[in-house]
Amino acid sequence: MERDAVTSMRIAEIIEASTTEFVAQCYDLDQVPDFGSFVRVRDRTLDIYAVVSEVRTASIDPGRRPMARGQDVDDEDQLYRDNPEIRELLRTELTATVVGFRRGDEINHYLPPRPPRIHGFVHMCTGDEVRTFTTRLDFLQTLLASPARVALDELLAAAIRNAWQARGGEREFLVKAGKEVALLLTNDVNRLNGVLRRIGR
Amino acid sequence: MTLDLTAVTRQLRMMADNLAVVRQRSENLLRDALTALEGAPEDCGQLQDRIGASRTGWPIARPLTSPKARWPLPPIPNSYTVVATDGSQIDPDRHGPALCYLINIGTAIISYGDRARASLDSEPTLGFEESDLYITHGDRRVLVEGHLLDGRRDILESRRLAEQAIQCARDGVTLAVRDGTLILRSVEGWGEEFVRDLYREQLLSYLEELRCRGVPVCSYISRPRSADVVNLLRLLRCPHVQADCERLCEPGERDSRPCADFVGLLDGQIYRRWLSPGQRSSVFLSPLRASLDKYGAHRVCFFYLHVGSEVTRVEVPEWVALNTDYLDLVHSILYEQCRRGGGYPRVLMEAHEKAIITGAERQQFQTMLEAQLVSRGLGWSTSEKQRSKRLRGL
Repeated sequence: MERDAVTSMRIAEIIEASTTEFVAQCYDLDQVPDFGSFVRVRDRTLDIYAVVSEVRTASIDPGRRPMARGQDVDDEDQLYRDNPEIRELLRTELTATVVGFRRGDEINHYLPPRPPRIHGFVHMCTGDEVRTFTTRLDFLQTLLASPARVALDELLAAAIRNAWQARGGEREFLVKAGKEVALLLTNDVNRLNGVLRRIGR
Repeated sequence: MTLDLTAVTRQLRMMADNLAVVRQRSENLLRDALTALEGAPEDCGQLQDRIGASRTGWPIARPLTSPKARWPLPPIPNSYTVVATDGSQIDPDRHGPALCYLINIGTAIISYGDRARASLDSEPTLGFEESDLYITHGDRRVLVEGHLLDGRRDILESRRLAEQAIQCARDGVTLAVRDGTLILRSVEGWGEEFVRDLYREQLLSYLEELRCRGVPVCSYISRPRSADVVNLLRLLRCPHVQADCERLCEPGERDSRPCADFVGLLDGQIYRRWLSPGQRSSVFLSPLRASLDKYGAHRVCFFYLHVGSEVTRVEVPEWVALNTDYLDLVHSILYEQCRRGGGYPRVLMEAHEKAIITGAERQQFQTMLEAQLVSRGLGWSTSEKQRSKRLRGL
């Protein structure tokens, strides 16, 4: 997704929230943030930052599973055009792991005092926001300690890759992030190597 | 457990045996009926005269073209919108804490072609005021429940269908579709006359709005059980020039008359063999008394449509039946909808899905109702009958 827009894009709305993560329903099936990308929720005086740790699309009604419909259709877009109701019957949700918050000009890389509100609007972070937030890398520790259901190492690597991309591919950032991960996983060389391979270019 | 499943099994076995015999008999009858249809006159004017002059105890479909006619699938417009509504309800509970009902109307609007999009929604209406709960006429005051509530739901479905379809028609070709029959089956033919008049007047006003705005409307009946065309074939078998069952046939003789041969056959069985997938039958005027006498320009007509997996009955008001363009639109769109919906119109399926009130939602509704009463400090109680059902003490 476009990350460098000057104004951040509103993509989803929170439907479940806790201190460490939130689930949000995306407004559009096609406007789904990347795994490991940075999102922001404004909660009264706070801007809560989170990293997208899972995205899933499924039927709105758990009792109605999607069925294959495209056997006679040439391309997938045509299938959606032929069956416009499908979009109304599917729902894309994202889970985002909270990694910090901003109060005024002060950015904190630890969990906010309260979770965001239900129905809070979720925005994609702009490139500037990602650059500002990732000036420090303490959030990697928060991420690693999170109860995210996905493989944490994958999430860690994806967040670093996204931040690195927002910083225009600065080599210095990658080295700094690599060192930070090495400190965090100092007791587990196998995991460390796995993460480094995933962020290595 | 109170149900004696052993006894049920015995009866189910007997039913299956009986069904096998009936099927075989009906297969033989079907062959004869198809021969009779083959031999039906081309001139429907002559047929209509004969139907008009006959006095039979069974209602006879009046063909607008030869009953033998088979119409091929017309081309479908590149862009069009199809709108459907459906409804479900929670009946007033005489034993519950407060007398009220809930009607949920589901609407599905699907546009195909250039502006492909869909809108699916539902709209609940709680009936709790005096005017919602009772229909009054002079000194008469009738509680809206059972078939009267079904009728009110039918009216709300029709109103929403007309509103939405008229709005969509501003942007292009639009078809309005209802589930079931076009007439108010819930009240026609029985109940209080003033209720029928009231409901009918409302239904006809929505049909009239659609007619004035040029939006064709139809209703769709899956696996129809009607025999109006079978009855026409029965009339063709009548040896008398002018059928008059009461006068010309002794009650004891009726079962042995030629017209009795086709009793038990259904129109759908005949057209399943007569039509090929995609074809529609001739259009007939429904012989239903209420429709003929009270529906004016909206007298109910119908045709059968072979959608591939079954033959369905499609009902349209007379002004749609008399307009070939409208009729072709109904025919082509419904066939295509069935193709998209795996044998049943997709738009009706989605409207139904939006209308349905699940068991869990019904319970939730009761809980919310009770919570509202408690929060206002309103004491409430259920009837002793209700209480005894809940407690079921030994």
